[in-house]
Amino acid sequence: MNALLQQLQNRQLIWLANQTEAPYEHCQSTGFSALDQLLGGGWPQHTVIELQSHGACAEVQLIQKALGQSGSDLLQVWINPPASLCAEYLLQQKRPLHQVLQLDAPRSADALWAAELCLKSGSCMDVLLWQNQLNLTQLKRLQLAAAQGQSQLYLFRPTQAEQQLLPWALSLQLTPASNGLQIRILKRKGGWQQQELLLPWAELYPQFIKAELQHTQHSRPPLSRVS
Amino acid sequence: MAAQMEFWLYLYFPQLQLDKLLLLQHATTQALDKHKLDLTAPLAIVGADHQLLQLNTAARQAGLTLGMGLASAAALCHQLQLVPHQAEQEQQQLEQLAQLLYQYCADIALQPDSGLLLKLSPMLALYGGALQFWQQLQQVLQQAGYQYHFATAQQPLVARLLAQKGWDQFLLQSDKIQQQLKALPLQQAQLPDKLQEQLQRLGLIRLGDLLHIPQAELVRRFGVEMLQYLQQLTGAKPALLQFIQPAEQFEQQLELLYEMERSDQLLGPLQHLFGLLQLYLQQRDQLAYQLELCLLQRQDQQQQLQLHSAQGEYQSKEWLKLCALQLERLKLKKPVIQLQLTLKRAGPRYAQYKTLFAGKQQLYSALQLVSLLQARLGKDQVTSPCLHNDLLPEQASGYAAALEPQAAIAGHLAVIRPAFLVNPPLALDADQQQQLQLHCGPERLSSGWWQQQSQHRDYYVGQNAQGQWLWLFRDLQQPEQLYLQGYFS
Repeated sequence: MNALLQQLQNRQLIWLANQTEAPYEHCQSTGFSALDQLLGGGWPQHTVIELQSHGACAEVQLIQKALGQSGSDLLQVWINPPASLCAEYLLQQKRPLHQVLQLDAPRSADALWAAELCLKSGSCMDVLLWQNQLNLTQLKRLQLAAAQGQSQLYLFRPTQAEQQLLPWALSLQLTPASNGLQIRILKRKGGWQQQELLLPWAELYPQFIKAELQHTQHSRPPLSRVS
Repeated sequence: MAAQMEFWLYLYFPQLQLDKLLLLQHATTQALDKHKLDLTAPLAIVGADHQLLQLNTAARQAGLTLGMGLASAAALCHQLQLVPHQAEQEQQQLEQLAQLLYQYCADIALQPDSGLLLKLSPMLALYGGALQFWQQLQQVLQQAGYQYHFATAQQPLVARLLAQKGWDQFLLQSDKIQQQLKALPLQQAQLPDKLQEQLQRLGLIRLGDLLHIPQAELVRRFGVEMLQYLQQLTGAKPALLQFIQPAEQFEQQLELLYEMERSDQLLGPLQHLFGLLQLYLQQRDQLAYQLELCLLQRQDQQQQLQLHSAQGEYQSKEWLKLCALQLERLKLKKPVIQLQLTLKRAGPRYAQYKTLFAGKQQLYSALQLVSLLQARLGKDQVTSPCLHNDLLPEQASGYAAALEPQAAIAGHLAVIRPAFLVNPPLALDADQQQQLQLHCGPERLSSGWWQQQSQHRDYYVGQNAQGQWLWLFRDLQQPEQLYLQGYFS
């Protein structure tokens, strides 16, 4: 290496991209070790996280372990979920049903207002919001509310064609692949490199996909066996 | 000594209606409206017989006096604004005042012509002296903001005569009171008209002159009316009084100064109503859970709002917040002229605990949060999921009122359930069925034979061409058809 560069590096005047450490102050483990490693510790706490996907591809399953660690004495709020909630699923996750709130707000302004109120109330831990459009001001308000109430907002959005420049603490794009879920970091605080990870389906859905059986699946529905 | 004798305090409110107008004006400092009265210009309250009953300061400066006829008043001051006298409304205000004072004094009687009679003697022991008690009362009256005159005496009638004359002395020395009474002109003694005329013809001018004459003589000459009057004046016969009881139910009305067309204008007057509610609830140590606000509008129309608080609130600012959220959504059909607030459900107040969870600061408790959300989004839009005892998934999952604890259902939880359910199940067409990959199954679920349409279903987990995870089933009666029941998410 150049002697001058060496000298500068010894005096710690050069920043190296591969030295990036965990950029977040507080992290909560995602429950998936590979994802933890990718994110440098886990989900950032008390902020807004964006998850882009076209739905039904394990996006809730991805945060479910983190939700389970939040403790059950605080509320979990689902705002405008895409379909009605399954009570049995919530009970599987050891979540008391009366600690779950579902809000239906047809108007986007109402949904954002409700999300902000829940975040800053201090009586909710996690808020899950399905919302298509968000601008900078709205995001800032939500982030401040989350910091004030020490709560967490997971925002689910359809995959966006063009990338908006919004200051997310963390924004992930989720794409289903044949053998697992493709996770791509679109934006993260304090990091710049784009990284990807393939999380096998067997880790996400251990209850119905066994790792060793993953390749011996039926290619067609066994119609003839039923009648 | 004072404790053994009966003492009465008479409070006389000479201009209740006018003061109310002034108070409302202060509460709603908004842009000037053309319907609005200008209270700095001459203004008078006129009775049914076209006499001026109450005057503001500008009207007095213009030379008007009480009791003047309308014609002479108009001649003196042509820009005089007139408001018809509303006796019912004044009576209501007087009752409100009595309820307010009831917290400090046990025996209060309503009197005709805008007066309140308070029995002092039993309260003096409690307050440790007459002056302390009077200071307390003065504070309350000052906050209420009405003009008042007062006097004390051993007999209710004497206190009334002196208060209406505007003596304004709080004394418990009977000799001084008697002295004042004797100097009172006979015109102000509230004798029946006929008696007063007769006495005047006799050359009696002051009440003292009357009291010098032996009672027996007077009664023989003027009859039983005079006897009753004298007995009341000397306290020989106890006065018949009906003391007020605290109101059983909270129901308050507020006449608006002018027609309000925008719902946000209503917040000023509402604050006043909620203030009254807070006082009512504080006195009873209660919390309100449900209120009904009725907006009376022009042409006898009305709109009703139901205000709920799941946690129960007594503070006016909390109720105002909830009400503001509902008013935002409300579209007024006609301008509002009157507000009416009724307390529908209340309960005892209890200590409210907040979580100690890791020092997390709570701005709202869970119940408060739900009330706020319900106020803006509507009661049906805020729900909690619940589990019914049924085998079919779309029947088993339902919704209940928010935060309502539910009875546990015995039995094992199924292992494979998706986060979201499609209700009713969606039939898939042949193309979609071809693209599916089934990963797991079948799991058979059968509904009870006792139900009308007994169903047997085989459930599978499948993935479609887009890589989405679906929960599918096949009905045994038509096995070729796959239905979509839910999404794994």
